[in-house]
Amino acid sequence: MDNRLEPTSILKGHALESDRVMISEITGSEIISVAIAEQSEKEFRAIFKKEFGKLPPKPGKFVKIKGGIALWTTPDQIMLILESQDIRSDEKIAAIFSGYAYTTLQTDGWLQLTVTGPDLQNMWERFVPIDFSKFKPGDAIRTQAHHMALIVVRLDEDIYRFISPRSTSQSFIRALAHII
Amino acid sequence: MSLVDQSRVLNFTFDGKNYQGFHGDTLASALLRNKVSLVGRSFKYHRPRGIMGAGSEEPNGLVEIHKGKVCEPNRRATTVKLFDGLEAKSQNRFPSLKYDLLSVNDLFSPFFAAGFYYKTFMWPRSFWEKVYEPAIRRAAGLGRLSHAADPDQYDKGFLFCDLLVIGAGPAGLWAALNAGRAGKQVILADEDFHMGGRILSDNPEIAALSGHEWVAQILAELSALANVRLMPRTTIYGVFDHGIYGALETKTDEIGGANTRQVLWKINAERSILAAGATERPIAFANNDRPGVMLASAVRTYANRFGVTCGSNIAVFTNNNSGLETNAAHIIDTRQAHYVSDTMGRHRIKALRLVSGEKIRTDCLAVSGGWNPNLHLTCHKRGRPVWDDALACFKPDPKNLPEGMSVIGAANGSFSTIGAFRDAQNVLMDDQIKCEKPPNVDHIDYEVSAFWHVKSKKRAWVDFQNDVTAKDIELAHQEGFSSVEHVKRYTTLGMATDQGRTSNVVGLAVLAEATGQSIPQTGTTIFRPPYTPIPLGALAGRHKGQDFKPVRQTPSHDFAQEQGATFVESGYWKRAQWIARKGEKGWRDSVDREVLMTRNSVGVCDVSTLGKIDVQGRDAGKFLNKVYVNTFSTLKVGRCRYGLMLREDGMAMDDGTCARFSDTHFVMTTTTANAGRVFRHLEFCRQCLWPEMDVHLISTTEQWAQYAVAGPNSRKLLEKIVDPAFDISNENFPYMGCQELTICGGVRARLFRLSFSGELAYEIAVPTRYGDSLIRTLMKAGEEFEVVLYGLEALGVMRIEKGHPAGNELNGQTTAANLGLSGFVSKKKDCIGKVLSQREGLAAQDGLALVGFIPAHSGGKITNGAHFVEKGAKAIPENDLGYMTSVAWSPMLNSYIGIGFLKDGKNRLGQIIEAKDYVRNNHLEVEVVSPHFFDPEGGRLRG
Repeated sequence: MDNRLEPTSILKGHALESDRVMISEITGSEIISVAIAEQSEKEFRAIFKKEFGKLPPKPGKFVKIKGGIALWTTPDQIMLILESQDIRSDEKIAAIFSGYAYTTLQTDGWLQLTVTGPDLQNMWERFVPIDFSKFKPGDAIRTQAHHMALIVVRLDEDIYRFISPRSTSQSFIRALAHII
Repeated sequence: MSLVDQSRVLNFTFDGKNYQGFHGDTLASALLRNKVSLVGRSFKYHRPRGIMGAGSEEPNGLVEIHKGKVCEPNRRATTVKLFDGLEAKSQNRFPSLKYDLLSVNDLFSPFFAAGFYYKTFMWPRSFWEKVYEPAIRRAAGLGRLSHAADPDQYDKGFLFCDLLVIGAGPAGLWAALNAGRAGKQVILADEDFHMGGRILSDNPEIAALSGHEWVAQILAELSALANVRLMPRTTIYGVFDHGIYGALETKTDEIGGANTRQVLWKINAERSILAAGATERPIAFANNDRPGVMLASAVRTYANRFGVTCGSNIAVFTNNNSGLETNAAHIIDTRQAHYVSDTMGRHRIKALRLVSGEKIRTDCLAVSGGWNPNLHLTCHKRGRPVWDDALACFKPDPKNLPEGMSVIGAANGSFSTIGAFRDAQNVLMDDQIKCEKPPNVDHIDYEVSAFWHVKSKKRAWVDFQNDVTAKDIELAHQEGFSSVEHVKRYTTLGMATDQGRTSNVVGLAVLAEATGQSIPQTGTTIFRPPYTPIPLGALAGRHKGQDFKPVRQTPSHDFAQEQGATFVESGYWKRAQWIARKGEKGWRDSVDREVLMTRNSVGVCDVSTLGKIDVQGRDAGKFLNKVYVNTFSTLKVGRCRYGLMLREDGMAMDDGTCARFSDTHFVMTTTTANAGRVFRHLEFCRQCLWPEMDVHLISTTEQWAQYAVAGPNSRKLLEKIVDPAFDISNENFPYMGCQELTICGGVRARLFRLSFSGELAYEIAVPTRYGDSLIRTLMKAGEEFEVVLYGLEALGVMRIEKGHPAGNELNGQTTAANLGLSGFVSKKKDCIGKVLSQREGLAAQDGLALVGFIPAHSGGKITNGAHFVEKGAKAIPENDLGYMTSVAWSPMLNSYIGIGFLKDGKNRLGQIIEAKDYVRNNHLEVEVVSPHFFDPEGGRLRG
């Protein structure tokens, strides 16, 4: 018997599209939560810089790093989004930080969407409680939309990444479809 | 020249009769244009009533808007924008507006004075709820709901600005324009569909332009500014903490006519300017409520803005010079000692009588008792207005405004147009915003001589919406209700949908006169949100029907659906409750089969909804010692342990297992219901109680798809998918073991040997991307064992058979001792809740204990929620011995079984007591037994 397991994407290849915006699911990346060990900030920053080419992100920000992006999520925690698939990447990152940080694989907990389109700020005003006039490229924020958790990353002027829990992804997509 | 477009005719009906209005009309202006003067009946006396105002202050013109079977009651005709096909009906009348049988109430008015209900419907007491209240409720109230589903969509949103300007009259327009020119992010909101405020009504000359032209010019410039957002038909209904303002934007009044009918906005503003204008108030005199008696300002609004004349022979009754701006044939000015004493006419005023006895024929009496600033929003943070003697009105107290708010224009008592402009200029300059010199405008000082009430033996209305007369207020005072708050509640003055917009100050003046005090000594009530009524649909927004709340789907959702699962809500989760097969007649058949197949061979259940928390760090073990009653720092790597968590008050909070994967890494599981609560609690402990600890928490509930595989053949099934490098035999992977391994040719997984069912059982977890694939693989691989997919009901039956506590037992009122878990509480260490759990009452030896119950006589059906009493004892609280928490039909034991809490339960095994269930009227004798009904020695789970 063939017992091979196949991964399933959440939207199964479906995309949302309107005249103004294109929304598609990101697959093939890994999300790893990295927590800095107590009193290890200095060592952590040094290893982070060496490994990823940048210093860790500041609160409310993300940085583009070698292989992906890193965004600040909460004090002493950041989220790495690596643009290549490796289901054991959390273990590899943990090895890199050798006790100065703890890692947790998070990829499967989240739906990741790329949202692209010009002048989308007004579209979001009925969706998320964010002042998009002040939310610039380089910003990342944890918020909520219609009672669902949401991380918004403004990658570029017209490109956003929305990250929302996997289990509510169908409700999230319905809510998104309502406004686009 | 009016602001309606007479080239665009709109057809509408009122009480079934066809009429025509124009684009730009309100329903009220269109009715007046069609000479409809009778539009409603009053609340209590069913007196004929006509349009009195021209905005949201209107107390009389409340109508129903209809479309098909849907009806929206209590809409003000003055704020409904006319649209083609509008169907409006009058309300609070039977059988018709003109001939209303309940107008007989007016004949009995001497009996219906303030406090009538309280004094009359006193005896017998048994009639209060069953007879009087239903009868009074049927007779009273305004409008009727249709009970049809609301066909419209509503939405909610969030806006941000540097400056929120509330009101688009002269002050608001000037402030918004100059702040916009200065580059500020400005929102200008006005409740009217046409911005301009009183300029539209009085059309004064401004900067050598007509008022209408000037407004159009300013609005054109504002519209062109990218940093200014104009929001007509948007009512700022409330002021809240941290510069947050509630706003209701109406897109259309048409029922079912647009994608989104209304939007409820939460506006975050750094600063706000209240420029909400003022409301004219009436004067109380006999029969001042007849149709045709209107506010003078409204008469001018209908003339100048809508091109509608409210009468052919208009009289003005005023105590101030703004009333004199009304084009009228007769002037009655209190400042010249002229007073109206009464009016005549049935469905419309025909004449008025002066105190001097002179009778004047008129078809419209325009009344102006002075102006009240619309200061409501200044009170929403408990601001209390101050009395201004010269203006005879309450004004906002500048020392007591909501943070970041300034008040300008008529809302601040500056009742002239130039005064409004100057206020705007001053506020902007205080904020260092450059402001252009105000435009030239004719300057007329507002002059008023306070006058409130023409005394008479007849009834003079103060609150038109609630049918409160000056006599009612005087009577309230006579009966000892002299506090303004008491008078309000005794008479209903200033209550209901208009919140006393036109009546409050007149009512206060009448009360002040009765008490012999000044108005400021009498005091005032203040206002709370909302400023105008907010439809429930708008408060709900899009969260109705399928979108009422988010739905969480488990990794096996699609597969379960394909198998015909019935789902049940478990918090936001949808979980398979049972999975019916052909030929099964009811849910019990399915559940019994699932239990029997699991206990006889193997079953699979999705348990991914259990909370999963990664606890990592050098101090992770120490941290868990503090949050659990038992010890975890000594747990060996590769082992799991059951844990019980207490609240600070000593009550059980949650339970679950904790697995140790390395020296610094534990995986905690929580119950589904408490996953969020426990995570919050742990974060509080980590961040606030023990910040020095090296501990980090990450929720991984969604990361791992986890399935319980239970039954005597569970190991055989798992051996088919676990990669050969891993030995899961009983010797190498005993009960309460855990390990990270690979399955199905290298897929990362975690295996826990845990059992909720009491069977040889495991929980296998894979990254959720493989969740759907794994459930299908397990079911396929298990075909040779007749594997069954089981749902939440079967899970519940098996855990009751084993006597495991769950949500019904961890109900916030039980302790470790109640649950029979005292032995888990470590005596060697402290933990949250330990001290308070040792309180005398909680630790009593004869306290409630978790035990099992079976019917004492065969065929009996026990029910949860039943309370226990001794045999033959009365079912009264004093005799209460405890309660049944969970009940199931056990297909293994062929009997109903239950667990619950019984006083001194452990010492009562074998005794017969009574279980009384008054909700289902099910009472029977039950035998007290051990809660472990099935395999009490635990041989199966260790097998």
